[in-house]
Amino acid sequence: MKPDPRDEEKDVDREEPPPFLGSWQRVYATVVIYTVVVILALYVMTLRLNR
Amino acid sequence: MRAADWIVVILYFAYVIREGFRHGRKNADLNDYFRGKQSLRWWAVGLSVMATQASAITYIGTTGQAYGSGMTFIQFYFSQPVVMVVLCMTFVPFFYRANVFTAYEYLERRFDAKTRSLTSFLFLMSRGLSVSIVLYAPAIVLGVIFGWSEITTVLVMGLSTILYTAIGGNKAVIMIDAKQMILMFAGIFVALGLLVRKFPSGVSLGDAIHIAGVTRKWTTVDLSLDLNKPYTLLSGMLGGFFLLLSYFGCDQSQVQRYLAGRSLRESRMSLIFSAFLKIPMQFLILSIGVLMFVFYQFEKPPLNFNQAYHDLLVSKAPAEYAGLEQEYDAAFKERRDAALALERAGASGQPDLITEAERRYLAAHGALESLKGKNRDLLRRVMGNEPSAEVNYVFPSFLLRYAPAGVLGIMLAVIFAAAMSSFASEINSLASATIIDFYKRYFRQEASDSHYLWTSRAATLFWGIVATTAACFAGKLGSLIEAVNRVGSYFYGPILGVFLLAFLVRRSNGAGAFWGLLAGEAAVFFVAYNTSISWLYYNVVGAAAVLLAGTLISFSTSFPGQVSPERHG
Repeated sequence: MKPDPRDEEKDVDREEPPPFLGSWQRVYATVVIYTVVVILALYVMTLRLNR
Repeated sequence: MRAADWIVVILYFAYVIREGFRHGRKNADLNDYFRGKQSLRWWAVGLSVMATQASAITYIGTTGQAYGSGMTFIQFYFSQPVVMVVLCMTFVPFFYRANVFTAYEYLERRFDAKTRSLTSFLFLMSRGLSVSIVLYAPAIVLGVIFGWSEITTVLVMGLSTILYTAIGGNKAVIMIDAKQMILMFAGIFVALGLLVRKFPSGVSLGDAIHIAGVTRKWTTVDLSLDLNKPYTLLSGMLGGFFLLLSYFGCDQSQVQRYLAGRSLRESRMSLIFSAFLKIPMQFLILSIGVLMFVFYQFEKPPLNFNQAYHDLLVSKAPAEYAGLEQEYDAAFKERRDAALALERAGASGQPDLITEAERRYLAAHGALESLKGKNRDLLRRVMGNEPSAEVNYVFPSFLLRYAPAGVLGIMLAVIFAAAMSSFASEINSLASATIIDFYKRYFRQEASDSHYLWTSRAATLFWGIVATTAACFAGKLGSLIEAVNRVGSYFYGPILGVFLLAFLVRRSNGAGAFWGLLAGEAAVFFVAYNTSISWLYYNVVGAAAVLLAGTLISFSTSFPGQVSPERHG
């Protein structure tokens, strides 16, 4: 079995924080919440505008 | 085309070619040519990611689709923000830290050379065969609408894109893509503004929304669980998720965009940028189609948006077609009156009047649609085969008839930009896979920077010429091209499966990946030819089959701590 490249060069690029929200976890959570909100908004739009 | 339109289009072409030459002077080695020195900012890479994804068909086809059947197509993109998060957490850091030029290079480090070569080969075959469609599809529409020959349109788009891509490399492609994407965004607002201005006096945007709602054009979320329906919330979140994950994570035309980021942070930010913008952008593009539908309630739409079909019926079935046109005129007038009555009933606010006006409108709309069906039957009889879809002609036909001087030129430049940005990224990625995964890996492992730079340019030229030539003859190849394009989509799921195996199953090995990939392909072909499920689910089947077969084979051929004899230093 070959060595997993994930184990190599782990120090090459230290985790740089994102430019906003402080951590990548928060950015990812924001994207997921945004997606849910957009889909819900579009669902409400479907119900309200289609007659 | 008026002088102002020609000036806009010529300025557009002159600008992109000049940009290609400007960036081309700075290329010195493969890192410059294929990764743009890894010096690019997130906004440029993010715009390039979006421009690569948006082809001319995004503007021509999906607006026409929304005109005919509403907004349901938007569900295909619902999973894209989540896909971008998964990429940022897994694929992007793995590729970035492994310092690779191609996604497939990573597979040799993780598995072995044959898995890398097979995956890269599948990419070259599927993408190489289908790239001509990127040029051919808009050329056939623009050719019919503007009276240009398909070959002239293909050559103008193809040769100018090859020129700036071959000379400028990936940095030129990304920087030009970014500007083209800004132009495409501007084009969306220009088209929406033009449509609203063209509504007859007394018809407001609110009235337009009401009329479209009566025919259920605003359906953006369909909760159906029917696996045969192509666009539902389920197919978007499940099938769309696997397709988009494969496209953004394993297709070199996208991977090469974000590998050019200045740092891991810049690469991640480029995808987050796209995650926020894609659904609103697609919503606006589809809204163009819905507003066109409303516009054509008051202005008579042609019975055939495709002028060639109109001419064909005039010459081959003149009496029958004239009769059909007469019926169509009467049906249109009745629908227009019904739409105006609906608008007046809406203004009165009386529920009974509104219900009655809606009933009258739906009956008139149904009568008009049934005449369009008769027109299609007549076309089928005259042609002897299935006529091509009308959706691709609706938006260009509208622009040609109603866009003022200069605006038509801008919208044409938008359509060219959409086609050329995708084509540039694709031939650039085909060249990188050819040079990095095959030429440098198997034929010339040591050579000067200058040698690799020029062979990379030659590879870009080669793929560009192959695709442009195929696009020129695509009309004669007909259903063969369509078949190739359809079969090309069968590879996405299994290729994704190999990468998921690499990331998720730590004990997976080269034998599992290689044979698992072949098993995944077999599973996709079996499902495609033996079931009627929507093609979006093929990606789920392919990825799952590779994961399952690859894991089983890996576990049966290796033990913890075992070192593969294929290991490379």
